[in-house]
Amino acid sequence: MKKILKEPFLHFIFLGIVLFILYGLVNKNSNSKDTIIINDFDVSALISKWEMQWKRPPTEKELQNLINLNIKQEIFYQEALKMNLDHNDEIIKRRLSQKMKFLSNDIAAMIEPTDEDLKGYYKEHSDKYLTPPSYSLYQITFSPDNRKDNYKDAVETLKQFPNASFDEMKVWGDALPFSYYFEDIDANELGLQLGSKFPEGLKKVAIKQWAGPVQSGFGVHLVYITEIKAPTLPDFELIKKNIIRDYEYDNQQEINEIIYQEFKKNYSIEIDIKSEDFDPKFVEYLQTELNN
Amino acid sequence: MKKIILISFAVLALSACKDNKQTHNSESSNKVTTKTSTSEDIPNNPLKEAYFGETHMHTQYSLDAYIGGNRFTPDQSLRFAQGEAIELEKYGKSWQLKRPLDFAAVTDHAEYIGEAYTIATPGAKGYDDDAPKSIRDVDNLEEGLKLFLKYVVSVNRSSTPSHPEFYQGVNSTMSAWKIMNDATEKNYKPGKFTTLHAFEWSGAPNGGNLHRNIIFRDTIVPNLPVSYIEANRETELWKWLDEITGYGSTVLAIPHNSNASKGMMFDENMPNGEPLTKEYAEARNKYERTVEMMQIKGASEVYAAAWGSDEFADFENATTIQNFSGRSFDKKNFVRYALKKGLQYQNELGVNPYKLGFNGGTDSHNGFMANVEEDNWTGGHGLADMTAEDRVNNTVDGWAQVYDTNPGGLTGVWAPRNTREDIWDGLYNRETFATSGPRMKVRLFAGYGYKDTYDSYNAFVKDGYDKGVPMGGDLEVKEGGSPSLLVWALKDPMNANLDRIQIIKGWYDNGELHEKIYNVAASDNRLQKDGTVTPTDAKVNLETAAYDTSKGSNQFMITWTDPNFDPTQTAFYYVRVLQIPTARWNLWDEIRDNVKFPDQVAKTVQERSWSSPIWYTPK
Repeated sequence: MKKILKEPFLHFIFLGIVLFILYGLVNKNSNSKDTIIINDFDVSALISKWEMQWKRPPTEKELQNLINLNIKQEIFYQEALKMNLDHNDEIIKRRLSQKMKFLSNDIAAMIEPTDEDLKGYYKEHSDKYLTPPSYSLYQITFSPDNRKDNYKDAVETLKQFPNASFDEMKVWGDALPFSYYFEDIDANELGLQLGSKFPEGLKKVAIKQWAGPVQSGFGVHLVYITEIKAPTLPDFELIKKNIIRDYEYDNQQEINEIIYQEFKKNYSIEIDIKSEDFDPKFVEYLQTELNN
Repeated sequence: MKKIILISFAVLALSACKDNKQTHNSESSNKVTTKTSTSEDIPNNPLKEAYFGETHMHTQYSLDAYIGGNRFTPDQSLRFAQGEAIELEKYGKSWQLKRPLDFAAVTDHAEYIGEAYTIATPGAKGYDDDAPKSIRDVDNLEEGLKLFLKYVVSVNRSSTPSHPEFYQGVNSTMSAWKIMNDATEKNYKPGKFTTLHAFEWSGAPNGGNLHRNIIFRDTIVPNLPVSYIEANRETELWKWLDEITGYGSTVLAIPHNSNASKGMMFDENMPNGEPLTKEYAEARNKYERTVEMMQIKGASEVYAAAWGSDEFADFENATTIQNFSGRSFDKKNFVRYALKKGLQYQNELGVNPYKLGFNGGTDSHNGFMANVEEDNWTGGHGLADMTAEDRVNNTVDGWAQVYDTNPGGLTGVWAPRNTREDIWDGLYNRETFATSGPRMKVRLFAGYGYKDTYDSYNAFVKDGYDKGVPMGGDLEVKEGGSPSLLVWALKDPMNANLDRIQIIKGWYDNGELHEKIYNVAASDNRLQKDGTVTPTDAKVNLETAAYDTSKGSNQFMITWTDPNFDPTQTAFYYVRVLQIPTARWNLWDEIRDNVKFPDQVAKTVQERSWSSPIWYTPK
């Protein structure tokens, strides 16, 4: 059963059977004489609903009244259905399409992924779980606060001292509250501290030498990257919780979409727009897009 | 009700162990603290780091938010806060923060979380009743407004609030509170992302806003939050806080929207009509450590019409909130007034009831946690202001024209680590600052014997702590000593440069209250000898919304001495940092969505940040 439920194409067939049975039930009812049955369940439901609102049980008279009201509502409801009054009612449409969606959500929820499924998903979407690259680097900042042309100063400093030691280079930058040396800091964290331009810029400079200028939110920097750790994929077990969450979410979206598409195959959508207010190209676009 | 709260007091089973719970230091020293054993492995930075977060946020468990179209759970909102994208089917679009937050609290309105649970949970008792059904089916503003009036306004904004008829009782409230707390626990990642257990008490007698966000230090939370229905005024709220403190909770309360309080937030009289007493001041001082300086429905620092001498007072005043619910602006609704008034009470009662540091928040009702960037804003109220067209045309019902609202602010907390206890302690000790959205950082210290200049930031901060107190603290009284202030500000690396730093001083002298604004630093050599500043000529390009990158400063780091310091006067000092002008959100809307806002709507703003004050109280 589990296996079958996992075949997306069979969802439609499964639903089809459900609907067929429902249709049969409804049809049978309309063939026989109309009967309204009030059973124990209905009466208890009426009573508990009343109790919720009035904080006491209804009297006999009140209960009788409730049942009468209920019968009246049911008869009107049935007659309204016969007269097709439910057709094209916005609220009923919304409600029923919502119920269909709940149904497909329920189907999605019935499928519990196995470790195998999850591992497949993890493999397929590994880019989603990669850690950002991390850097160990020295940096000095050339801030526009203290300089006429901070970019030029940086370029010239690099030209003049391309092989400066870490101690020597340190003195040429401006005092800002960042470390001279960042050890094993990931690109996201660098972006938060210095602005996202900085990690972007790091991708373009040579390592194990003074390089730059690299732009940040605070001016430009000369950097010496001592080490880059490439993005890694965390162990499956470590992030299994996230994988389950993402798998279930994607799966639900997918199943909703499959079911919708299966139903949609039974309909051809025609665009019947004659007004000249609409661009004919737009109408043409609708016609082709909506049938895909 | 009270009985239930007491009997069913819950302790979430976690490692936060009561024995290690820190005690807060006495009022005078204001320094932190000892540590719990929960997060020992996370490195401790004694100079502290600024963490940015949100202390005011609504999900679908706030009934007004639900009716406004919010279908986000607390879990989804907290994930959004960490940078995950969220897709809204209705709009066929997805949204994402440009930068993740460091900490966050979901603060749903305690009043109707049970009702929202009933509406939102298939299979819950009452789920299929008419009212929950009709609320679930809302998909347009008009319908939503009708239901909002019927189910929220009519029962909540009077002086005797009640539950709507479809309320299913205390079990539904407990279920919602549990969902909120579970989401908070699930998303806590010590060292990386802090979540705080929280809710909002939404007292609004006759429409005057007295709301407070209640924030817990750990997982010791009661089984039920308290609402306006059980605690009718702030005094009753504090009594409830006393009670839960007795059962082991550690808690603070953050008031907000004093701008809409109809004179009640900082009233001279207590709820019983009598003048403020020492007991009232003490209770308030004990729980209310910070105030929300700014949020989507306006800034509460000052307003332009009453503060003519403050050239930057005309900032997100949300003046149209006066067109709704019978509100009008009055000095006594604003934070700077309260800070001064507090000095007077300090002298008269010996306790300052308004010793308030600063928070920033959004109060967004659409589930988009702290989406504060002007160029990424998607409104704060769901159906009312989701699209650019909505924002041109609509009002936030009962509050303001949408164009008068703003994306709201953030809270910055100086803490040695990003853990729940460290963030909470920062809030408690008022080592906090508010920003109008951008992540500028600001520090303030006051003490004796500071140097005129420092070679490095680290030396500056170290001296700041060694010889004085940080923001939120009390400057030591030293006979014959001459105190000075250390002030530092750093721009947001993803936003415009800084324009200037101002120090705002308030003092009490012989029964009179005074204030003065000092310009203490300005970019581009604009600070004159007489303390005036030539206004910045940085412009915003109205075609592209780009700000000027050639003007302004990255950083300011100065030592300042008050030329008028009088050791006999009670006083406070706080810092206001201004950015150079940038585009307001409506300019982005105009450019991107080809809409047109009324001419009186400002197209640019000067974003800012406010440090919590430091107080000086002579012996």
